[in-house]
Amino acid sequence: MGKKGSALVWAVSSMLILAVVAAAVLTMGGVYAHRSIRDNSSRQAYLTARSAVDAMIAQLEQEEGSTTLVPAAAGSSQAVSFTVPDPLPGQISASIGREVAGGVAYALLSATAIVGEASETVKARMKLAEGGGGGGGDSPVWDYRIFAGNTIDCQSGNMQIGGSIHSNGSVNIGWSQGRISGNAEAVTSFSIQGPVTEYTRIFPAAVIPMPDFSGYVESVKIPDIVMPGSYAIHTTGSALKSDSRQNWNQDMYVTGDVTVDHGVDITSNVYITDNLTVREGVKVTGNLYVEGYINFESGGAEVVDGYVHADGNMTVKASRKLTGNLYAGGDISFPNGSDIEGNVYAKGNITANGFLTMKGTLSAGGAVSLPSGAKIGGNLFANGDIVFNSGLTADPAAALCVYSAHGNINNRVHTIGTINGVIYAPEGTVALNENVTFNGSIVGKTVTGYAGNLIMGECAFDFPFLGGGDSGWEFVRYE
Amino acid sequence: MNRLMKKLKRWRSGMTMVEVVVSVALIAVAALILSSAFGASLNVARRGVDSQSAGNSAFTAIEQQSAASGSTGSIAFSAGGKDYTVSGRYLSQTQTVNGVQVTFHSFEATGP
Repeated sequence: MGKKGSALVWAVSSMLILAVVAAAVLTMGGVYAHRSIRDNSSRQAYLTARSAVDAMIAQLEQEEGSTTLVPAAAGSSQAVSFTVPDPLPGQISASIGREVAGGVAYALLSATAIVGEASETVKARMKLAEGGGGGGGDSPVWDYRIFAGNTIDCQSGNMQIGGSIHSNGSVNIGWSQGRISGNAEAVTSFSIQGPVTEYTRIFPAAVIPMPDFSGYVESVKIPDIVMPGSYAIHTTGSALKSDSRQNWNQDMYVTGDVTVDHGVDITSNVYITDNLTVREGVKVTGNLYVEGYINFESGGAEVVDGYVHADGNMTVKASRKLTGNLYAGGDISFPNGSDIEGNVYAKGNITANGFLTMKGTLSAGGAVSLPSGAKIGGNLFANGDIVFNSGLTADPAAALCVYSAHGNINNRVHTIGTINGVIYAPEGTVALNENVTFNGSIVGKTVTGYAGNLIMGECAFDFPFLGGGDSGWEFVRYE
Repeated sequence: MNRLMKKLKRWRSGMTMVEVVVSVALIAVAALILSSAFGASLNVARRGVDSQSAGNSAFTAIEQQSAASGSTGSIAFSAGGKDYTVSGRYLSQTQTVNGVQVTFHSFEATGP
């Protein structure tokens, strides 16, 4: 006792050093663990924000260009309020803005999610894609109820035009009673005979060029059939004889003519080098390629999301519903009518008798002849004439497009009920007959005929043929 | 200065038994405390590593939507005074590494 030493000093010093090291290690471990938690929160925040952006993209892809989801003014944005249910964690604040660059409108989507202490933002860009139009979509022609590249020559007992008419040549109209709420415009000569109730005469008017929609026709061309490079079965047409209904459910390459007497279900890819005749019904959900002609005779033909291709002609004698694609290098005929919801394309002519209900696209390199009472609710294109053998019926809730690129649309265009859409023959004549009630535009090189009642108004629908009505938003990229 | 040198000479002379005993006791107590602290620290750090690893796996899986379980649902939002509801699938992906479990959730939109 009483002696003095240094052990206590060393002990205390060692403890201090150990305490500092321990504190450092503890801190580092804690920081690392905290960073891991924060990283995972950050990832979840990204997923939550991405989910919100994806939801906005999904909604916008279904919206038309004029949606209120995207503000109308360029450079502006609006908040989007999300209600995020379980199990998606976090809070979302989002916005949608509009930007215009190079004449194209973009929607800028942004969502920021906060999860724990982490915050992540996901952005995406969508583009406003205008409907097809080949450069004619913005043409003022579509603002007219009747437009003629050369002549308007119409007689009517009662002509009620809700809008304007225009001819780059002459206007010659006679009516017992009539009204044109807008302008009546002619370039070379002007005559309206009958009691004048209302219209604004503009003569001589300026020439308005006919719009070009050749690009639009190409844009709705039926897709090519895709057949496999090899087939599981190689056989001959004569080997496919059967006393009962057949089921072709394996890819098959058939040489020679094929005649099926008791019906067939085709659920695979079948290639036939010659002709095909089917009796007692056929149902196609696969792909059928025939180098020759196809005859679907008695029993009904049903094409459900499949594709039937013939290099030659195709005859569908007893058509059921056609929701797939039909292609013929020659003509297609429906002698007993058809219910078409898919796409039908013939390089030659398309003829339907009996009845025709159409919701898809029907296009012909040649002419189209439709039966009495044809009910059209889709697109109808032809290079040649389009003939309505009697009245034309259309779904009043849908827009109709009838376009003859080089021929006439005649000779009995009259309507049953109100029709919305466009009848367009830029190089031919649109001939009206009996009563016509039509909301939209009738456009031809010549518009002529006698209509007991000719009642026209503005189309109630946005319309893709007009090159802007059915515009929609397309995803571009995440940013 | 001379007094300081004298003190140092006296310290160099050795340590007393009491100092030795007290020092050993203090170091022992400190070692005990620090060892448990080190253990806890290592445990925290290891859990951080496991959490990071589980998070990597879960995030990759849910991003690729591989093996992610899902249930149909919808997500609602409003803008411009209008309400929208988008249908889709809620995906969740859980990964466990050494008892550390990480779960991520996302929403795969299919359309209005």
